[in-house]
Amino acid sequence: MTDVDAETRKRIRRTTLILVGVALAFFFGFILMGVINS
Amino acid sequence: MIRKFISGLLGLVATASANADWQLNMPVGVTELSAETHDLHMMAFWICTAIGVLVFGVMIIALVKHRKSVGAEPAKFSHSTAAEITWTAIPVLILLAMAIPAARTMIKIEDSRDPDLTVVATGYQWKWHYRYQDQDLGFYSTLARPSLEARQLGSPVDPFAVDNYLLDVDRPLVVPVGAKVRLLLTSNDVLHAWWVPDLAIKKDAIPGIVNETWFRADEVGTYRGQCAELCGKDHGYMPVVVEVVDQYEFEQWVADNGGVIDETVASNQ
Amino acid sequence: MSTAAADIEAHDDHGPAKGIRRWLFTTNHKDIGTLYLLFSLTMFFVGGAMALVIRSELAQPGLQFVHPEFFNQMTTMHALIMVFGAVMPAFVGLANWMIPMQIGAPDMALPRMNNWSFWILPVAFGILLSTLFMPGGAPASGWTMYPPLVLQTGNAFPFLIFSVHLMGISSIMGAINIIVTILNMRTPEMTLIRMPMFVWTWLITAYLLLAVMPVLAGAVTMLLTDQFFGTSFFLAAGGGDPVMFQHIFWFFGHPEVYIMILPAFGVVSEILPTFSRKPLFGHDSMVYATASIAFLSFIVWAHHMFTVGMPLSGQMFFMFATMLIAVPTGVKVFNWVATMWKGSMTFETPMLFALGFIFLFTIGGFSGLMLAIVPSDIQYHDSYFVVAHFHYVLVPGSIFAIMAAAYYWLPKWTGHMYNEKAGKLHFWMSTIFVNLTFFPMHFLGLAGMPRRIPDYSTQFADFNFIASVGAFGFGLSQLIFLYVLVTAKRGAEASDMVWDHPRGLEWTVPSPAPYHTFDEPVHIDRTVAFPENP
Repeated sequence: MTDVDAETRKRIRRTTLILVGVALAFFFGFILMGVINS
Repeated sequence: MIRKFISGLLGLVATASANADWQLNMPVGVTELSAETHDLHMMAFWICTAIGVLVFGVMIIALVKHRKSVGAEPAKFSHSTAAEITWTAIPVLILLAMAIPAARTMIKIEDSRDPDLTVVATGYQWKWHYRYQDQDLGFYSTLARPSLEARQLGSPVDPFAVDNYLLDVDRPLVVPVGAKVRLLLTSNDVLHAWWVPDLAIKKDAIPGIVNETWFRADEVGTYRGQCAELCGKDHGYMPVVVEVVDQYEFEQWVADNGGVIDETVASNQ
Repeated sequence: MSTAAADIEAHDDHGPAKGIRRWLFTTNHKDIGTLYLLFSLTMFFVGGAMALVIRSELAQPGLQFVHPEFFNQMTTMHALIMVFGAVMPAFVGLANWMIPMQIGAPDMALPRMNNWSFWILPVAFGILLSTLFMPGGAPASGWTMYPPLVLQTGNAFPFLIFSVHLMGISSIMGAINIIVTILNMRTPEMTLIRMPMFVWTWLITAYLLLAVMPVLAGAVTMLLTDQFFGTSFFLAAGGGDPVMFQHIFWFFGHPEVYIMILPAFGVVSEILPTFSRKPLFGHDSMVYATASIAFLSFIVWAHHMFTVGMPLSGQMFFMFATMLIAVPTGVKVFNWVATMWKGSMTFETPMLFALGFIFLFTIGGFSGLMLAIVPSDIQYHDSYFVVAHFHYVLVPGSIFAIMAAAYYWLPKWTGHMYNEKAGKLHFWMSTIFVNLTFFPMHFLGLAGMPRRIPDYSTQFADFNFIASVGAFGFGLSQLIFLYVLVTAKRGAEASDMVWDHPRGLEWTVPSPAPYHTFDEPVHIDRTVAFPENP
């Protein structure tokens, strides 16, 4: 990330955090589904 | 080995569909639904063939005519909404034409009401157990001895010398011809699946669940299948054999095996 | 800002660092791309060797070489290695190399995470392959890992789960990197719709990866807790449901196969226009079709489970939805044909592989459509018909596309033209043998041969023999590819454009591409670059 400006760096950070959230949501969501179903 | 190859090839030339070694297609089978299944398969096959001939035909023409080495100049066009709509709509219509008969057959398959005979088939690692509910009869069905000897790693027995190698059992499932047989499937350990191509039946045998399916065989004969869900090391060695016999033979067989002749089966024939 | 990475690249006017430290610590997308591609090639040969063990045993009826337990380990590991070790890393390697260049970006958005995404993989596969040497051997319950059978795996079980988790983390991080890069680092005039098809297909693929790899992780975590921590997610005795695993697995599994094919579609969409000397037909339509395929891929998973005992309404829904995917896929094939039509084609190796892809992937697509029909699927399911289908879409499908991409971009990577004669030989040998290997499997399945068996009844002998011959031929043909790669730098020097006026920003930089490209955003002449969307 050293060769982009601060604005872009902020946007990159934001997008990354959102996507990490999506991944975690799917992970825990499906485990939760397993728990509810068993 | 080479002998088999050549005789197989000659067999193919002489009697293409009769030589089982080079069997190309799904069996029509011996039930009404196995024939419908075969028809659906062939319908899908011919439609795919037709589309393939069309698409590959156009491609081949392009490969021959529109190449730089014969001096073709490239055109400039790069889109056409009309084309996109056409080649989206037509496939949808073709799919509808395929889905409707398929749905009709699926509804028939689901109708397991009023069976003449009920058998509980339980999958084990690595054999089947059959229990005839109404006839009070139960037994294990395991790989037949000749196959068992030939299957071992480095066995001196030639598989080609064994009849129905890996498709033979010591005690088959015996049912009367024309009877609607309901099969209740479950497992004692891991997933298995019960498959007989000539009956067009395949259903998973799951521990903790009882699955239901049915068939009505219209022809006397012996029909062979195999376990169709990976179940461990001997998954390939737990075949399914169904012997369809006439009513009298069935009753004899039940009696010989210590079972109870069920009146309802007889009266529904 | 004095990290090891910054130190290594701080002297970039003198080129990258030397020796092993360069490769271990690189954050450069080109280096990481190369690492992924070399790793993938190695795994391809490892998985291929396992396939040859399988085909050796299946060449004749009777058991000649291996015990059934080991055979099952081979089929399981062959699939895990090919799917997670060969196909996926190859496409990620291509993504790493090409996406930043194609969008005019200096590198990926998260270069250090990029390094970890790669280096996790050798660790993951080291762990997985080590299970072959443990007592009890490698996992042998199929790559699909269905319980209860998978819970009978011995010592290898926790290593399998750990390895799958590691692969998943690598893919998820890679996917995040790709999405963030594409959304935030395009050169100013490159609006989304103007992006090249390879970038578009990867953007969509990355969303699929992001959604479903965590689901796989969830599924295998539940297997782990069932095995070691007393839960009963999938154990009937404890009130659990083995079928639920299948639902969760295939919710991952179906998008997974699209993850393995969408970048391939992107590659073909890049190569065909170049060698037809004509723009891609229906660029926008191709984007929408790809997005439709991706969306539909989420709602068809149970077509892998038609024999599990599904209610009729479920069967109907999944049959219709699965058949529907044929529509956007067909649209793509028609658009490719329309690209070729009235073009001015030449047949260099990349084009040969792309054309082979279209012919043979389409055949795989046809068997896929046949599989969608439920009553017929009752006969096809878990038979060699399915094996034929997925090998057609994965081998002359995905793998051919990867080869096509390698030949297409190799001059850009190495600065030299590869050996064209050898490339063509590689193509023709691969094509002949791939068909010899997998076409007979359609017949075997229809004749009633089940999958995942080490031995079979004698009527299946002849087609099995042919398939085994084909497999060995195909395997040997890949040595030609190895030769091409090893001698890649012997050929004539490559120009910037390499081919006859290809589109794309990667062809505006020298060959080999400099270590750092697009350090400054470029201005694109839109009328030249995007005549369809100026």
